[in-house]
Amino acid sequence: MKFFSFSETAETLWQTLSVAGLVQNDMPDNPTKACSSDLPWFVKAMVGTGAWISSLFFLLFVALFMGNLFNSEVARATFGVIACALAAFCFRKNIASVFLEQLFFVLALLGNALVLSVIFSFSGSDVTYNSTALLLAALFEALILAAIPYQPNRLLSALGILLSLRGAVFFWGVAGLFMPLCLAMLAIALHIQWRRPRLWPMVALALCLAPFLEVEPRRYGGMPCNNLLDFLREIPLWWWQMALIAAWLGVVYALLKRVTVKPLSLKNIGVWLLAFILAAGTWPAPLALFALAVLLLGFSQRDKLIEGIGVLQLLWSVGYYYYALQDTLLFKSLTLSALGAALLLLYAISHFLLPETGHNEGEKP
Amino acid sequence: MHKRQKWIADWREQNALSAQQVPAALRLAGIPPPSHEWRAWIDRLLLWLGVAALLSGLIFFVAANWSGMGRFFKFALAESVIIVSLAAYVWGARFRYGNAALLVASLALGALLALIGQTYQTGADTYQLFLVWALLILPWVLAARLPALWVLWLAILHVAYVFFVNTFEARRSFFPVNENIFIGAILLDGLALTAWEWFSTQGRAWMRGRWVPRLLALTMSAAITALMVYFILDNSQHSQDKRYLLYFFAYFLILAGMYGVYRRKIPDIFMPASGALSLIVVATTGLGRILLGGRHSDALFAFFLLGLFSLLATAGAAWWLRQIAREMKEYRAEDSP
Repeated sequence: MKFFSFSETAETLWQTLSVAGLVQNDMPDNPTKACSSDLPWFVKAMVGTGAWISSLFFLLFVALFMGNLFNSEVARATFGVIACALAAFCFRKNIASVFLEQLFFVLALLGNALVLSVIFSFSGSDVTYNSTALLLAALFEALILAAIPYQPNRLLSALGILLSLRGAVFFWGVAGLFMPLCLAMLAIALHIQWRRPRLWPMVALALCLAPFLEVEPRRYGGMPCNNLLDFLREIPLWWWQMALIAAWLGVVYALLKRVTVKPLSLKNIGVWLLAFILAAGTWPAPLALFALAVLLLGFSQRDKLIEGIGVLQLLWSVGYYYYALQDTLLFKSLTLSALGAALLLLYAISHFLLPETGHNEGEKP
Repeated sequence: MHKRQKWIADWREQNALSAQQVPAALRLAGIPPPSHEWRAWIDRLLLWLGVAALLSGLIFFVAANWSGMGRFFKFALAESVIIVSLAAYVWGARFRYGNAALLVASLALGALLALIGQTYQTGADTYQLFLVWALLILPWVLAARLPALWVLWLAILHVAYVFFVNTFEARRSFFPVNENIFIGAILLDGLALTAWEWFSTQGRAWMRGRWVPRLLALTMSAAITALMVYFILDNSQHSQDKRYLLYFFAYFLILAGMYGVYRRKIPDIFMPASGALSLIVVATTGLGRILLGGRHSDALFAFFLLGLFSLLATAGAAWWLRQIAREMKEYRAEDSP
């Protein structure tokens, strides 16, 4: 049975599920779409741009009207929370108009900015205050992520959480933990995204972008905090890279388990060999391994956007590797050539290595 | 999220499916893909990753030894990319992707010209590099019949023009330097748009896609909007000239022309939409200049009025565009068999 086809519709899928006994009766109607959805995307973009222009003038009006009131942290925090609450309330009422949508989006962003400015006004040169501020910011963004059901806002909130956590782990000196955790969370988010289809896809999208937030992993900041963090800070870099490889292998295992009956059977030895070769080959450039995982997960979800992000990240990681200073260009060229040769050799013998299956043979029932 | 997964998630929300049934439903929907698709995908991944890794290794090797290479070897490297791309075009000309090889050859030619300029320090102006590049790739652009290559060619011409304007002094021109850049872009894009639309109506199938004329209309609208905003906000002596009449006349003439053509002759709602946005931006800027430019201006009142004006203007434009979209839909329905 051919599962994927652009010509297939919701009705065809419903029919398939009905034949399998998973659903009964007629297919439910789609939830009613907003009246502005009959407009082409560029008209919506025009309306949205107009809304932003209008919002910015109204915000300037409010800022001038309030005068010096915004100098007070209490006032800023209060207005920020009210703005976010108002935006959350309106978005939960299912706004029909693109114009109003953008207006409340600007309001939500303003609320975010006001509250975050208060949170970070208490930070300074002390690492405890800085990391606490970052954690508070992450917590606030998580609240906004849950409260405001508008996709672009959720994406920005998720990115805000990632940035804050990235900064916090950097201050604690455990920056190497960031990428493995992001990869594990990405796999989980994609696996459960159907449970909250307006939340988890945005979280997954933000997690896909984690490599673009990554700084040189060897540069650990942070100052002495307590015994546990001192211990973590002493862990060599290659342990964190092993953690990323473990996350990668975990993703491969989880996908094999979903696709085949026995992920650890001898039939899958070619897949494991490939997984280990890729893990070893990307050792000098860990971002490339994350990118491969994104590509893999994107294909598993048939999500072209995530696959595309994986491809972009691979190109990004090659460029990153080019400028990395730990090895000479000659060594890098030899590493890449050896990896390329190994992969092409695997391609040549893939017929023997990868399991031969029919359409449904060996798959989970 | 793939559309199939979205449908299943919607049905789950509507309780047509239980949570326990969703994994089975997803499997039937092919998420994750069945093993035979994985095998094909892994095969493609091995091939493309292997080739990409080898190519990257080669590039890194060249970079590692670049400073030690002689000039003729460097030229040979750059020229070999062009030759291989042209060979790929000749071999793959009957395939859709054969034309993409000409795109690669065109980009590689630019790199070669830059290398020549860097190696010999000819003293040529930067605009000459881009102009020569555009002239040299013109035969390929004509042969390829690839919209993306035409866009690249126009982009190179734009860059050549900007460098040309920046090279020569403003006093030699009727217009000051900044305005020259906008005016050149408007003329170039306007000419290109007119030519494209005319040739596409002559039955050339490869020109039927709308993204190129829309891109040209967008850049032309952006240039003319920027020119009008620049003129409105300009406080220099030039703003006292009578040229403002010419600018306003040209602006409204272009908007009217685009409306006339794209409302009836070549129905495309994108053009009126970009024109409407341009008008909103220019009108808001003009109103802002009047309200905030005076000695006794009240900023508070001005911002409120500007916000209200842009809100009403956008709402009006959205209503008008919805009417046009409805008319175009009916018009297309009448025309179809």
